[in-house]
Amino acid sequence: MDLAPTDEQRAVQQEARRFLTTQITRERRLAWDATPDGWDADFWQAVGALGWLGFGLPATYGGHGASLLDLGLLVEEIGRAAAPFGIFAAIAGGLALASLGTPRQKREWLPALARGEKLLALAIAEERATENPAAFVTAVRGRGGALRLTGEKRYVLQGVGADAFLVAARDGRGVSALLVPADTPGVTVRPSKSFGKDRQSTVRFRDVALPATAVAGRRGGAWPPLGRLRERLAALLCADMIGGADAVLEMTTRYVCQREQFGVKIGTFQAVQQMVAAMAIDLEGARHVTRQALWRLSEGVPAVRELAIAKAWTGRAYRDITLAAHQLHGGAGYVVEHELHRYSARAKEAELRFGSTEEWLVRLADVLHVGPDGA
Amino acid sequence: MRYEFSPEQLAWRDEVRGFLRKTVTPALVAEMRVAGNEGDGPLAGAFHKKMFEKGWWGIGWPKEFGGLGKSALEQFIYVEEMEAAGAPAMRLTITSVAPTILRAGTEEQKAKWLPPILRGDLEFAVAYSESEAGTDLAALKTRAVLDGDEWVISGQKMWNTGAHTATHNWVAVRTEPDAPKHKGISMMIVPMDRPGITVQPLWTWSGIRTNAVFFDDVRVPRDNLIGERGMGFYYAMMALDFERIMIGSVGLLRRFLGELKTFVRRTRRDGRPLGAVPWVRRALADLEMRVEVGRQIGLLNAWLIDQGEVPTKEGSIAKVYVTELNAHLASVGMEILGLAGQLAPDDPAAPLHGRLQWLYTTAPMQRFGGGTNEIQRIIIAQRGLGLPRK
Repeated sequence: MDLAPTDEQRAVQQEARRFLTTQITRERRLAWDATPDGWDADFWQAVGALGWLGFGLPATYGGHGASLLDLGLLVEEIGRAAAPFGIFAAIAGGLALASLGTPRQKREWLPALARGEKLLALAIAEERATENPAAFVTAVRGRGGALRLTGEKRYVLQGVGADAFLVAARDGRGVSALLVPADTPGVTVRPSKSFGKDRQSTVRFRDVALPATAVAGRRGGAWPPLGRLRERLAALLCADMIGGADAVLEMTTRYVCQREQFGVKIGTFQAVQQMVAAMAIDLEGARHVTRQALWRLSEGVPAVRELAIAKAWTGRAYRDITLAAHQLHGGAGYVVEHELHRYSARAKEAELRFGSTEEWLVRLADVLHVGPDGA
Repeated sequence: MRYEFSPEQLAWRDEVRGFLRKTVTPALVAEMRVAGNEGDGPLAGAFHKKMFEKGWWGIGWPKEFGGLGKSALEQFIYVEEMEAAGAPAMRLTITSVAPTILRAGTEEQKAKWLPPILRGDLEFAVAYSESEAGTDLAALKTRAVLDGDEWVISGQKMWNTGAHTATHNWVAVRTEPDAPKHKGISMMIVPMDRPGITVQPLWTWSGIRTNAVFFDDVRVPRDNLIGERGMGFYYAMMALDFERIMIGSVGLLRRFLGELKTFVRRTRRDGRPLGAVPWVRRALADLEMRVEVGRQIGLLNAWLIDQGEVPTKEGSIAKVYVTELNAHLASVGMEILGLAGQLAPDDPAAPLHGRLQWLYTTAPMQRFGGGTNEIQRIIIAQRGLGLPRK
């Protein structure tokens, strides 16, 4: 048992924190709110130069080969700063191609993804399906060299600026993953508006013609790997959440120590102290169930139970922490000039993404095997 | 980072587990269910004797005093296994009194009191609270006045659990009436066979007996004042530090949850398996999650102690979290048991031998005892997060 980050892990976190604190100013954030990508080119180049986008990618393809735990510790800092969620999306796209792509696709794309020169967006969820591949409407047809892709994907992060999409499509009885360049005829991208102000799109594929080389991995065999990818992304998202929750607790503590009413700091009120303590309790549990899940996934030991616990608990905890923070900040934290709402919306979104608290509790119940015939 | 026990820690766990498998017999477990206070029966007494002989009641003590010098994490593992096996709980003598003597006592006091404690010859009750001094412990009024070579004690203590069976009492008394209230208290060892002590039973909702104890000019030798005069309040607070490792353990809850799952697997209600009922599955998953979160909080706490830190914030977090979870698990668990859940432990039809009902009635005491959870949250806010006192 060793619950402390290594010196190296700590150095990565400190460097990230320093970078994000200096780069993300209030003015810049407001300017970013009006851009299609959610950032400016200088910022994105700087992120690429830091190597974050290739941090978890194999060294043979220009990455750093970091474990999921190492990557999670970096993502904690991205969450702490409420940095553009597109960074997470770009990391996710790289991880997806690294685990599903053919050697040729990896050679062609991963080094550019690692440097931030290209962006790959994951396109899995649909209006009526998120985790049951049999319910996907998007489908690929055809044999040999001529494939046809039709369907619509939703909530695609960074869809507008993406150079390509990794699309999950029904393929006969199975599911195939397809690497589709954004400029392929028949692909249209329509931006959606999310309350977390991250950049999402609906991406439509209208009888898109693709070569056989577009298939990532084995034809019809993409679902188990995509399911596993989703689990790893859920764990990474938990890391984003505990970083964010930490920041929210810190800003709330600072505020109640400064704000005065009735001639005293409101932090002296017992009602306030009880609430702040409850936030700290929720967070402490979240931090360690999250890191435990990341550690287990990194070690390759069974992790479904721990991951389910991490996502279910952390999703709820982060949401509750942000709502308590609103209560304690009052009007001061309610205006858009304050950063709090960025965390609050991100928390609620994160609770819904990659399986909600309730969905993961269903999964957790399944692994307890209390039902008939061990179900 | 490593979220797993080391091979040495696993070996220690297996050693403890193997010993308990042989020692915690079904007869002992059955005795503990019917004995009013857990661990008061003869089989529990024999178990305690065995633990003393093995030196396992002093696993965290330094080796020079007959302990095993185990780390906080090893103690955590040990407590978790004890709870999981349903073994009699460690007594306050071991968890609270002895460690304080070890830290605060003079060399003579350590030599006098610690060896017989580790042999199991002495059994202490702890007398802190009074009718008018509960959460505000420093307001206590029981006083001790020096008369020659003896302290003369008079006053009344409440919630003095175990005073009717103990050989000694560990009593917080006011020795410096003119000092500020926190600085006028000392810790005194009072043999229970001294004249002037009256023990009155107080029966609680949980079935556990505690006591009101009256001291009427009770005389004890001067050297029974442990450590320094006027430091008693701080010693009492320090003693709570030692209890943190135990407080952070969810071994008992893991056992109850496991039994609850077994119950669900074997039970049909209204024509279908209970394990197929959505709300039951959801409730069990939720408990599984909450217990695991508690386990991580407890592990963090023990790990921090091994890093040489005094985890004030984390200790209070563990206390609040685990005691709230006790109450929650008992309540939800009884709901899963259905109407059978309200059967008393001594009813033969009570599922899980009525243990969840026992937990339901003992959980309130854990929430308000050992520093109320509201006070713990204030500690987290003020000492952990720096919120202002005034």
